[in-house]
Amino acid sequence: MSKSLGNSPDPLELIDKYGADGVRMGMMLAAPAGNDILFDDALCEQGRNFNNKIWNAFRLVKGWNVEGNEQPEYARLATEWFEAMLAKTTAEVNDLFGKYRLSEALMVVYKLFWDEFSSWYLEMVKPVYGQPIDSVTYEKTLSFFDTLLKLLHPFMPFITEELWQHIYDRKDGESIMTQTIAMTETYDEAIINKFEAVKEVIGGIRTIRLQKNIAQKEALNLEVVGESPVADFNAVIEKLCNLSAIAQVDAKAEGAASFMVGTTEYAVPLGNLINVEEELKKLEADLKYQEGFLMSVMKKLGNEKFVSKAPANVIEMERKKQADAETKIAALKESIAALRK
Amino acid sequence: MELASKYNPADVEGKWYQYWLDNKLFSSKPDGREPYTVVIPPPNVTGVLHMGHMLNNTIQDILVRRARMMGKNACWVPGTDHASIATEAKVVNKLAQQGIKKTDLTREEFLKHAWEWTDEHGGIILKQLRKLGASCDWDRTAFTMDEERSKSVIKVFVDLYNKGLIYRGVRMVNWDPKALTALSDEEVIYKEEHSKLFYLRYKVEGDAEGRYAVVATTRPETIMGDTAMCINPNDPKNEWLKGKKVIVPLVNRVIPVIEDDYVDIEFGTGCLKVTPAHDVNDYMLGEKYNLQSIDIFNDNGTISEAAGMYVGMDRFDVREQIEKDLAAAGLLEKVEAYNNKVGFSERTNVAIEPKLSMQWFLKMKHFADMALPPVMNDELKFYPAKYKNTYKYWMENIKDWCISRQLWWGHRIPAYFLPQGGFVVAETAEEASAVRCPSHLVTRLTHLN
Repeated sequence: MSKSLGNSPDPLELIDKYGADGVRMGMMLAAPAGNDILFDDALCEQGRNFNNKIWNAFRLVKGWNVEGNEQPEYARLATEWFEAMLAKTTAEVNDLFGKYRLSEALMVVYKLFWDEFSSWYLEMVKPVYGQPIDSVTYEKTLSFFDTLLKLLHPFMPFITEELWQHIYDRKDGESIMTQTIAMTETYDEAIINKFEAVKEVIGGIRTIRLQKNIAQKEALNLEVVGESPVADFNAVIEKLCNLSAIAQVDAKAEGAASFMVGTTEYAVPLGNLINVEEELKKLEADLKYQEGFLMSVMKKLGNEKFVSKAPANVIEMERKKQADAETKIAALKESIAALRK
Repeated sequence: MELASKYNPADVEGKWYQYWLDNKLFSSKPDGREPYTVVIPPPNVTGVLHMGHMLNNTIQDILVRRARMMGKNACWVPGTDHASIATEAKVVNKLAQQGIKKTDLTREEFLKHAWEWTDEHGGIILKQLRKLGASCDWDRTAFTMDEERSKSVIKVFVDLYNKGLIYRGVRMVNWDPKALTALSDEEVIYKEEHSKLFYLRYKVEGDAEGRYAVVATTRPETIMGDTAMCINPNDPKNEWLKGKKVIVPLVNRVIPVIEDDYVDIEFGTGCLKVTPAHDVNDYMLGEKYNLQSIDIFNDNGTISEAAGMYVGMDRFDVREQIEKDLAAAGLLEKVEAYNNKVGFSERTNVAIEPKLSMQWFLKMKHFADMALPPVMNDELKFYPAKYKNTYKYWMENIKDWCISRQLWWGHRIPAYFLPQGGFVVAETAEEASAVRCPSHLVTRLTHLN
């Protein structure tokens, strides 16, 4: 893109198409300080999509019915976690501004809003469809939104002003642009780290649902082999994964699908939740593929010409393929045997 | 107030910008808070917003809005640059469309047109900045040629002149033959050109065998300005030319052969024609060996009376014609295809003519010496830090800055000719006369451009 080459887009046309906030964000995504810029209209589109994300999140929250003031445990945990997350990110953004790393600062706020706030926090506190939300969680959510808008304001001044004016009744002449971004020096780092593990547990259960084709509305049980380091977040895990119970066990149930988070094993007993016939068919097909794959690897490794001529790292790779295939075959055989019982 | 189901920026942006303006939220007055101030790098007054503006103003706005929300008293001062040559070129073009030539107008008439143009188109870009949300204190909007700014330009000029940091002198400058003005080095764009290298025969004066030296040049049209030929004293193949005189082809002027190790032995034949009026390096040789300087060009790039031949023809037409004439006279050895870099005017896109010209200069070394240490010792920081090196290179290789232009749209140089010759630098004509000249001569003072 060059002024003299005349191949530069017209910024006012971009503003008409994507909105000023969208174009501002597009420019910042393209511009790590001091480097040449690879600009693409798609960046403005990403900016506009982010505007829509913020807008829709706001409408979701404002659409909730508020009733009662008793806060469920999962919501209490969620607000506690997000409060720490918000303080941590605010400090991070401050640090990046100090180093004039504006693109990175924007990315940090972007991720905070999109991933942590929308995908995690709102999912956690969201009331069941048609049900009301308690006023404590609701007020907390509005105040988080207020802070997020303030962090975003320098980057996207217009949408943040519009929504900030909608959160609470504002006096005439008041504006987000003259509000102060509060700095919290300390925050609970432990809860943030713990929640990362919680995300992994939830991810593990979601993967099982996906792989075994189990609908979200089917409630599951979760077994923790030994002690769960994130037991105090059980309420959150139960809500997000639709669990009827989380039990501490010495050994996982036979035929349970399991996964590891750190050094702790989690298992979901499948019982009659899956179609045995179909599952067997799937496993056997997979077994057949793995055995065929192993055979081709073994053929290669049995070829003296290959072994003597191939570079060490290539042979190393083949041996790793062999080991992986053998492990998978053993696991598949075990699963098939368990299902056949 | 119900929130629309879909976000439509057009419904929101104009409304809130007006709200910010109505409530004077961009306005800044000094108070107890820590100040945070940014002066906009002023865009050209007649410019329109491009992506470069979009990016750097977005960055400024992010910093200013952030500072405001961190409790600082943020003040972003907007303004525009009168952009002397860019604006004058636009006004000249517009007048040309109406069949009016700049040369037919007086300075005052031309300036009237320029101000009209500025008032009509000026500030469009500032309106456009509002569209992107720029939170400038618009009450402070400045123009580089408004009264306040003009006053300080004149004041600083006189101050620097009195301190000996501004001087007037004849120097080689980048001349724009279309805009008829000198340019700074930063206004010249170098482009690769496919051109020709001409090998010309310079006969040795009084040589019984009729021998000649061969000179390679890309600009045969400048031979009318040749006042010497130069060889490298360490060049064995040109040893025989030492102390001789040669005859400029077609022109028949006898010029001395001088010796300087500046000459590249490997280039062409190792013989260099020296044209002090039209080449920067030749100019330096001319200064060193006290050579005559013949300015063969008029300001518009046509050949001047001083050349004695081809008078009134355009420089590029002469290049074609002289090739034929040299060949016909048996003075052209050969012609080769050649790639070289040619400087072009950033604004008018015509080839720059290096030209000796009386101009005003700012001594830059003085400022570079002051500007370098604070960056090197991190008193002043660059983000990212790698540009510290670029800056250092610039400061250590700086040349005096040609600050005068032969244009009407801009600040006038506060110097006044004296009737008896010479000039006086002062903020006003009254001061000029009061300080330096007898009062009865004041009316005859003429302003310098």
